[in-house]
Amino acid sequence: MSSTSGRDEPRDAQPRHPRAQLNEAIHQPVRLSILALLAHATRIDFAFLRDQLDLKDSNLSQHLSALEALGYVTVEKGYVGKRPRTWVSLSPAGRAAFDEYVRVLRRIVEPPPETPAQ
Amino acid sequence: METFQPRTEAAEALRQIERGRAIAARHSADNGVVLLVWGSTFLLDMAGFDASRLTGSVVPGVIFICCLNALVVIWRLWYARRLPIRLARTLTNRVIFWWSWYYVALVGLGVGAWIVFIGPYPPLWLTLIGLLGAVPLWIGGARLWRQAHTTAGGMRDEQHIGA
Repeated sequence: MSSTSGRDEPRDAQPRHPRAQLNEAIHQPVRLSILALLAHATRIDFAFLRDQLDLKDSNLSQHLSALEALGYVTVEKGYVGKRPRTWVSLSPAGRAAFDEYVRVLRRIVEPPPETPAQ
Repeated sequence: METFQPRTEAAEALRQIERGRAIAARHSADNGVVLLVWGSTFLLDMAGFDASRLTGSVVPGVIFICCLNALVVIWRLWYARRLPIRLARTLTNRVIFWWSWYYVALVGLGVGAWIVFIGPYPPLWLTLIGLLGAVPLWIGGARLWRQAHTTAGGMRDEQHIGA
């Protein structure tokens, strides 16, 4: 059986669209915003994240807990002077996952290669 | 077409990531402010020294420089602590490091070598050297400021990253 166009190939042998490789945990809008900020920092103040993303404390905490459970972020509590502060930072696993996510996005956005004329 | 939506979503996600970069820069030490202040301080240092020559003594100039630079150091420490984002690698520190070599050459040649090989320097000479020293820092600071306030494509960044 000849197959010049690939139409006779089994479905599971066809290449998957890059969007199938998107990390769904990161692709959620709030979490993407969190990681987009964390990607450029060693650590970010929790209150700043909350204000930038226009979220309530509980809502942001939920998303951070989910990311922490995946091992993507670490949350540290400390003091600056007498003021308690909470800092959020991206873990190495989180950075690797985010970098891969960006690579997949770029692959999706790139124009598809032209199919050669038969 | 089914493939259009994923690409649109992906492009929007990339824009959101770019906005994150700009916001992170704006609220970190790489927002350009430190370089702008550092350059201005250097100019004021040299102008202060020029002004103290009018009194016939360098002592007022030295006192002025010591006080001004101490204030700027304290301000820089306070400002860095109040910024909500700590960067992994700060471009500002690297710029200041390389500028220091330029500063040494500028002051060494412009002041030291001038006195040794030419003689007394003309009025406002130190202010001119201050300006020559400040300009690279101002340019660097202005560029960082612009990068922190615009995203790719030259658009002014929105206030919030949005979610």
